[in-house]
Formats: sequence, C-alpha cells, structure tokens
Amino acid sequence: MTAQHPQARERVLDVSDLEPCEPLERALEAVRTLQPGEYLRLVHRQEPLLLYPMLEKLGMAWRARHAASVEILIHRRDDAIAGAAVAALAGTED
Amino acid sequence: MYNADLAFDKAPPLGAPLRFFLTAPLFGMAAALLVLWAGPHALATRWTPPLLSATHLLTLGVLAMVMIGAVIQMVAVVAGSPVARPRWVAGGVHALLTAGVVALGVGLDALDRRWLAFAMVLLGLGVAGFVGVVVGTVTRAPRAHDTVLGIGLAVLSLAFTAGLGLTLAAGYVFDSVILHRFPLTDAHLGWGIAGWMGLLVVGVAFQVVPMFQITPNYPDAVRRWLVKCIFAGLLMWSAGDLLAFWVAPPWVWLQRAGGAVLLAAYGTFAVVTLRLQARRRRRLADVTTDLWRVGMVSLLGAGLLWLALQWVPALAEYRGYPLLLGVLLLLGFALSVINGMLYKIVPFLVWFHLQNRLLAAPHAAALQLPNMKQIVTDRWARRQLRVHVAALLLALGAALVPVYLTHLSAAVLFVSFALLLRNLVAAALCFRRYQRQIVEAAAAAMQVRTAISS
Repeated sequence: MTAQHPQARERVLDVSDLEPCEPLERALEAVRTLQPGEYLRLVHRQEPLLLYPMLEKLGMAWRARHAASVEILIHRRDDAIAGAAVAALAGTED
Repeated sequence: MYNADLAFDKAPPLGAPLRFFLTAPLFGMAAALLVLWAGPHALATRWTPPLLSATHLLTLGVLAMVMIGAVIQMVAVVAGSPVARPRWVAGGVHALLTAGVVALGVGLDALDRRWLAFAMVLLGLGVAGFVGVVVGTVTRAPRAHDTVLGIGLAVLSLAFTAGLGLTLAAGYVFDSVILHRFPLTDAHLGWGIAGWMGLLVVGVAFQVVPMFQITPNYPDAVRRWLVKCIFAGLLMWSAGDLLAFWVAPPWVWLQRAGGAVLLAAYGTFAVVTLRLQARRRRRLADVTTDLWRVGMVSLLGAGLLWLALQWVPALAEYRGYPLLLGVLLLLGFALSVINGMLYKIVPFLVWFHLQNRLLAAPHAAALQLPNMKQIVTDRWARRQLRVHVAALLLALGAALVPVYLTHLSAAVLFVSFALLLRNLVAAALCFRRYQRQIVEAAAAAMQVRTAISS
C-alpha cells in the first residue's frame, strides 16, 4: 500500500540482472496478472523500449523514472486508483 | 513517455534480415570448399586466384551479407526512421548481392572476364541500392547518436571499398584500364576492414554489448570520439598511401600517422570491450561473450603484428605475414564478432516477432512462447564456437605452414559454417512452428466464442 493512496498496492519486479528477452517476458507475465488497484514497479538497467508498444497493446499505461537504474511504473489504463498512485509517485520523484 | 534512443516499432519484417543471415553460412561453406579443393597452393601468396576468390566469398558472401542484413534491421530501429518498402529493399539487395558474390567467386577463381564483368554490374547495383537506402534513412532520422554516426560512416566506407573494388575489377576486365594495383589494393583492404567492418562493429557494440552481454555502458569519451578517430585515421592513412605513391615518398609519414591513430583507436576498443566483459553483472557462461572475446584478442593480435612490422620492416617480405594478418582480422576479429552477434540477433528477432504476433491475437494469449535459449540452444551454439576456434587456430597454422594444415583448416572451417547454418535454420523453423501454433490457437478460441454466442 502507498502512503498517499492507501487503496493502491505496489508489486516490485527487479529484472536488472536478466538477459534479453527475460526482462520483457517477466514484465509481460506480471502485468497480465495485475489486480484492481495494483501497479507494477519494474526495475531495469536500461529503458525497456521494446516493452512499451507491447504494454500499449495490453491496455496499460506507464511512467518511467531515471536514476542509477530505470524504474517503470505500470498500471492498467482503466484503473483509476493505481493510475492516481503512479501519477503521485512519478510527480513527486521525477 | 516514449523518450528513447531506439524505436523497435519501426522494425522491418523478420524475413528482411533473416534471408541475409541464412545465406551467409552457405558462402562460408563454399569458401572453405574452394580452399580445400585448391590445397596448399592456394596459400602460396595472397594473390592466388583461389585465395582471392575464397577471401571475397568470406568478406562479401559471409561478413557483408550478415552486416547488410543487420543494418537493414538496425538502421530503422536506432535511427527511429523506417526503411521504405523493407521487403522490396531487402529482397532486391539480397538477390543482387547473392548473384554478384557467386559471379565474383567464379570470376576471381577462374580469372574470367565475363564473370567479373557480370559481378561488377550486380555488386555495383546491390551496394549502390543498399548505400542509397541507408543514407536516405539516416538523413531523415529524427535523432543522431553515436551508433547512427557509426553506421553512417561504415556505410560510406563500404561505398569507398566497393568503388575501389570495381576499379580493381575493371583492371582485369578491360585492357584499356591500366592500374597501379598495390596502392589501390591497400586502400580497398583498409576501407573494407578498418572502415566498413570495423566502424560498424564499433558503432553497433555501443548498443549491443551492454544490452546483450549485460555489461556497464562504454565510457562517454569512447562513445563520443572513437568512431570519429577511426574515420580520421583511415582518411590520413589512405591519403598518405596514395600521396606517397603518386606524389612523393616522404608523404609516407601521413600514412604512418594514420596507422598509429587506427592502432590506438582499435586497441582502445578491444581493451575497453574486454574490460567491460570482465565486469559483467551476471557471470554465466555465454557463447556470444566468448566469441567477442576471441574477436577482441584477435584484433589485439593483429595490432601487435602490424606494430611488429614497423620495428622489423623485413617482415613485409615474408609470405606468411599478410596471410596471418588477414586470418586474424577476417576470421579472428570480424567473423567471431559477427558469428557471436547472430546468436543474439536471430533468437531475439524470432522472439520479438512471435511476441508481437501473440499480442495481436489475444485469444491465443495462453500460449507459452520459447525464450532465446530455446530458440538457439547453448549446447549447439557452444559446439559451433569450439569448432570455430579450432578453425581459426588451424588457419593461423596454415598461414605459416600451408603444406601441412591447409586441408585440415579448410575442412574444420566448413564444419563450423555448417553448424552455424544448422543453428540458424533451427531458429527459423522454431519461428514457423510457433507462428502456426499462434494462428491455430487464435482460430480455436474464435470457434469456441462463436459456438458459445450462437
């Protein structure tokens, strides 16, 4: 659960040490099972550009944050609770 | 949201690059058979017809074949600008290149003017078409980063190499064309190896080494300057070579200075790449990483050999010297690196195209796709790696003592290319099998939905 959006839940998936195409496979598996109110925090060593058009086809929305590693916050496009939590996180930490 | 250096949605269809990748090992097998057939006599000097023919089967039929296929695939992705009509471009360039390499191989082996003239037309058109498409795509590119610059300068070097090659071939074909063969051949080799092949490998390495071998990124200074230094070094080397021959011998200083720049630049590339590989985040055995190590060590070996020539000029008279240098640069460096990349590019493209087909057929979503290690298995890839290394070592031996090792090294090289072909065909068949399963699963799901709704 997040502080600002108590109904939202975060799932973390770190794929930074995996070889292509495993990061994409794991991410696709994870987003397909997102529950209402849930978003995925995907941690990767580089921006997973190939993933974005795939997320689009699956009806997902996302925000990327760049630091030492890259974090992509992914939620279902029609999930208002998870979307608000992601927007708040991306807005405060961008 | 979509702020990136690579745009995979611009990628061409799988058949566009795959036809080049599947053709390449066949020319490798032909080159090996040619040397096997000709025997030790082929390695008497670097100018024997069978060796000239086999070298071009290798450089154009294998190395350029894979590199052109990969550039058609990559340029759209890295430059973010799609290649217009990719099926037609790939089909046309591939047909011209394949027919041109066959004609050149026959023409050089038999020193037959008609075949050489035929090869000049086919290869001239094929290379011009490819260069035109890449230049058009790169100049339309919305962004220009280090890899785009590397690809652009590599393709420009290919145009120089092809122009020099056509001039040299014209010297065989037309009596009226009188050439100074040595400086032109040196320039042809320099632009082909240090320009076209080297620049492309360096430019592409900036993207693919960190991505596929899970290393840290190349240092910023290396990314920013290396490609420019190599191109400048090559211009100096080539201008010095031509000026020393046609104007005055003292211009040789410019050629030496250019050579020193190239040596330092490629030495830096090899050492930095080996160091990055030593800092891999996951230390699992990986065939591509091992093939790149072989490539970088060979590149360093070739650099040391060239350096030795500067200290001991008498080496230039030794028959085996250019052969050793050629084996290290072509089989050791370029072929190892390209062979290694094929084991990442091909499974990745197969997986990528299957995944996109699966996403376009949501009713088949339950289907489990193979991962990259299942598309080309480690066991078969490693088997080929071992044979490739054996072929390289035997070819180095054959350059020194042709009489004992020519047949054996050519036979082992043939087996290496046959194994590479086997592995690439396995990947293509895997794609076809899963593509059919996706279509069948989607059709079955549609039938169920129709039955329920009626």
